[in-house]
Amino acid sequence: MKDVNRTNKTLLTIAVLASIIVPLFIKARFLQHILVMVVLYAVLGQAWNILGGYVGLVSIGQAAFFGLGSYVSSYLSVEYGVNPWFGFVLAGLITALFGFLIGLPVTRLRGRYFAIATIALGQVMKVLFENWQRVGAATGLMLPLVKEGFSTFQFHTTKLPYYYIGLAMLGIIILFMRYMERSRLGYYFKAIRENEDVATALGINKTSYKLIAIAISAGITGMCGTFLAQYSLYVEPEYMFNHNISVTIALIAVFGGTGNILGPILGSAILLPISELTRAWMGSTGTGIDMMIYGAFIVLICVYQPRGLMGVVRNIQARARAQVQQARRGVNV
Amino acid sequence: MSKGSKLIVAGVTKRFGGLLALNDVSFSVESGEILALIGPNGAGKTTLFNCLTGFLKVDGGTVEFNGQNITNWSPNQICSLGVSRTFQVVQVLQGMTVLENVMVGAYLRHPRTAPARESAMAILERVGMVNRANDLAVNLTLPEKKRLEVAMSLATEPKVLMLDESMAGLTPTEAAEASQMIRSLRDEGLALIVVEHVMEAIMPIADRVIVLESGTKIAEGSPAEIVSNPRVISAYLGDKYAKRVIN
Repeated sequence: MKDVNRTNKTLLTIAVLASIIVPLFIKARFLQHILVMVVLYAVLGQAWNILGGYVGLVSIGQAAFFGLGSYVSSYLSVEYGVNPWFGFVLAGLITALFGFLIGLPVTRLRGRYFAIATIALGQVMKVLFENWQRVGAATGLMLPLVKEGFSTFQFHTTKLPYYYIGLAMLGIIILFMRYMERSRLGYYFKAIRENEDVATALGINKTSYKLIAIAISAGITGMCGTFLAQYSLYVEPEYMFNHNISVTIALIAVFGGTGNILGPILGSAILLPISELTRAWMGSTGTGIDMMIYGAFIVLICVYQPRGLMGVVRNIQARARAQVQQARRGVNV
Repeated sequence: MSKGSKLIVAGVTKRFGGLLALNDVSFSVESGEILALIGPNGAGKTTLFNCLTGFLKVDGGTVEFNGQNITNWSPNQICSLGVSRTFQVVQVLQGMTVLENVMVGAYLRHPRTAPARESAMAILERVGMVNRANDLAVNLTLPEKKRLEVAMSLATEPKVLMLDESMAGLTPTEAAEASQMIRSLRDEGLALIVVEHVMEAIMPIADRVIVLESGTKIAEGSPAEIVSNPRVISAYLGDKYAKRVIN
């Protein structure tokens, strides 16, 4: 047991250090771009995980929150010259509130009906913004190009600062989730996922906790929207409210393994590079290839290891543990 | 600790469409008392549980706990007030460990993790499941799941505990252990409402028995009175039998 724990800790330290140091040596802009996307989607996957993995509310409409967040900061920045960092925080708060309000009716739905409602939500938001003249309708908004720097949340010469901002977001969300896993909040979330009736019979107000979860998930997703808006410096409905975003987020989490912290990170680290690389290699003819590959992966995961990649990792760990114990027994004899 | 609690049920009525599932059922139970609720299949015992704990809305009548009208409150509010229940078809949090299951209950009174864990461990000790603490609930046997369910309910530190067929499917030894446990809970001042089909297990420990048939309370009294009540015998065995027994 102890040996395995120590190995885990060492591996974790190496992973953290590598995620901070290695990118410094990556100069190719395309590789930097992949890194940015990996951390962004790791955060998005994590936000999905809180709702889908812990509370069991499967959302396939995260793009609604993502797009809304991107528009909040961009609109404020374009119209009123509001600093994007302020917009970033405000996007989080507004999408959290939006998630809460949407949750009032939607969290009453169970299982697949909740999923369907979130798909509809994503589509409705897209159509809404496509026709909303004030925020640029289908053409969207172009963010003004300003001097690069941390205070303006714009970097033109290198993409690395975006990577580190994303990494910091990931770090914060991981710390939050570690706290959550060990607190009443996390236990109640899981209890609701496992059995709503039992949770209620044990005094849990399931509606409140579902609303808390959807607000947290939406808020984080909205902040990620601001992040992508600052990264690409434009927002348009087709881009920010794209249904593919919702699907990718859900797939990453399911592929990596839901209900634990490492799963979505693992999922993002494997699936995102595949998606970006196929897009780069095949150009516009490759559109959709990444989704086909995702599909194949999901089928494999569903058939062989429904707990996702983390299930595979856990099995390997269990086997190693068993071997260690066997070896010890051998020595004793 | 929970002395002086009283649950009063007055004229509770529940309809499912045209079916009268509960018809004007009244009774009360207080601290330090075991109330057995018996009746043939389909008599409305579980429906009554669901109505008292807020899982079903009643169509008439009131439920009062310590002077407070809790009729049609939500289940979690009723649990917070101190009325806890188990389910007839055993319900546990399958994907969580035994300890985590009980902790979810314990968090109601202990919002912080360390005290909740401590309280949960004390309860596991009490129901004799400490050795199973780190096993997933899904891997338990049926009797173990039933015991876990009682542990989860106890963790919410109830004043009234309602057990729905917690002894069904237990071996005689296990049932005897369960009876012992129910008795000791009563001696600590809990009020217990116990639905049970295993008469040998429940009759010796019940202080009072009420009998439901087709949604109506047909008898109430001490166990001795109930077993010789002709209406009860006819409800269980038919009129013919009732006459024969009385004669």
